[in-house]
Amino acid sequence: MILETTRFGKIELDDKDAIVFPDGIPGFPEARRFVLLQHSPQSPFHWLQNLEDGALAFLVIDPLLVDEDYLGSIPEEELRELGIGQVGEAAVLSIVRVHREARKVTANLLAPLLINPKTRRGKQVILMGSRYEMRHDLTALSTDSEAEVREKPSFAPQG
Amino acid sequence: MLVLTRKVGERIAIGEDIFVTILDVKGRQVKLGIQAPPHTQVHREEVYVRILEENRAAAMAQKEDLEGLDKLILVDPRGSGKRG
Repeated sequence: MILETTRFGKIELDDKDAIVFPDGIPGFPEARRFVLLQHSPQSPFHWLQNLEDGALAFLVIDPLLVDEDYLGSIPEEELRELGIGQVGEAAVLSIVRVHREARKVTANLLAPLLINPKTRRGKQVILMGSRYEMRHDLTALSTDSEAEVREKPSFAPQG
Repeated sequence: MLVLTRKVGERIAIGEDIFVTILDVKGRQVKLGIQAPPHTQVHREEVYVRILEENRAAAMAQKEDLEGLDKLILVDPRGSGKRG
């Protein structure tokens, strides 16, 4: 299918690439189907483009790039609900917010998008009682010591 | 709004498959047990509303916002040893 988007113009996609959020995403209850688009080949960011509304897309990042132990905080009942047998089989994405005035970007580590890659179904879950924040500052990592971050292998895109 | 008075241990049924049990009352705090089907989202309202608002704010992001920022955060894959 061809989708007309505000950010990427016309894009051609395969229906089977869609990731479905049966309950929508809080704030966007009608937004059910999305595709993941890479921002640029070297970027850690992706865009989760909605298929029902070409103007709706979320900037997302793999939270494991921020904390490699992140999967340990996903509650088992959330995994079970999506039919994910083991946490290692889950895909997670964190929605990124751009704070233009403050020139910073934050990732929502408190409420990740949890996806079963096999069924391509997902939901936004809230990690109640975890140590993660809704606005985890991504820019602080880099402005403190850019050189150090650049060399950190954990920030390399995962393939 | 429907107002009901319940004692500790008593329940309220909402529809056919949602049950709210009053587990404990201590001063101004009430502990509730909620039984609902898996697809029903149950959250503390203030947390849920914060997430919802954060999602709406995040949806404003545009491609241009990443200019400069992209470079700050990422590692050039050709420069890192891990990719291969």
